[in-house]
Amino acid sequence: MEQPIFECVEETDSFDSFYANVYFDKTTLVIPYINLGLGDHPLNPGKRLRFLDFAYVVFLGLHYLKVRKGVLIGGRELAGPILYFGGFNMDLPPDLIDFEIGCETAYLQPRRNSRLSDTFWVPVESPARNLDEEEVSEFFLGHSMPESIRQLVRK
Amino acid sequence: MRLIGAYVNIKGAFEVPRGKVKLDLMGGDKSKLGPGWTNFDISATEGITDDVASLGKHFEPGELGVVVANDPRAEFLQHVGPVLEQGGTVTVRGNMSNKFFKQLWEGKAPGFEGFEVVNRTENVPNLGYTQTGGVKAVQGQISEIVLKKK
Repeated sequence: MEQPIFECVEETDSFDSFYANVYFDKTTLVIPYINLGLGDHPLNPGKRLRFLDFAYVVFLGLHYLKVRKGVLIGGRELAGPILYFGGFNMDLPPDLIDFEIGCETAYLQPRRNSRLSDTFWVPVESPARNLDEEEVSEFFLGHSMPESIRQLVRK
Repeated sequence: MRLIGAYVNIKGAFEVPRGKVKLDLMGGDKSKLGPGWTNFDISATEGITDDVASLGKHFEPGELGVVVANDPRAEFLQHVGPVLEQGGTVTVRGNMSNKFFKQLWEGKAPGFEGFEVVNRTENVPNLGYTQTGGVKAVQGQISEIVLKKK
């Protein structure tokens, strides 16, 4: 499952997702995500969302990036089609919320052992929690990051 | 299961209000909209427990008067259209990271052609919306679109 998936990035549903340690520079944005919802997507062609435990969404050639606190890169008028991503930012304090993104290329990068589920993956303290705290911490610290992602964030 | 003027869900008897129904669509385990609203959710413990695609099994054509869907987690407009009265409204609130809300906001949702947009409002108050089945409060901006059946 580790191959990047360029199709249907706009069909990715991040509303119920969790993220932290976002990387971005002037051209590249990488969001590590837990519990991305996929439907009408190569990994789940059905309409009903299924949820991916650990994955990255990568945006290359940024020409527009806006978050809730304001525009960080470029302007919307020249951005072309906008991709919307969000979810629950686990950084303390939460900083980057509600991404509006214009870019040349975007793709989903699952991990080699990523799992799809019909139900949520919950990485936070809750009766519904079903992801190990240490595994979650290591994911956001980049310990299990695919080499292709590591090269992007090392630039 | 249709009875005369009433419905029964898997949790027990539930009477649908007479006249036009005010539907809290995908309202979760129970409606948070207050008295007079009928909850319809696949995981409802109060209201009608079923998939949104089965709306037509529970309501007659034109039986619904008003529909509210907060943070919808499935496509639904094509299922609402046939059972909503002409001129009836659908109010949807959500965040743009929710693909089903985004489809509606951008006019791309299946069934959208049967509706006209009454208004779109960005950054409406967050009335305690949650994500991941109630695990966390929604951090992002909530927008609202109101549609009227043509």
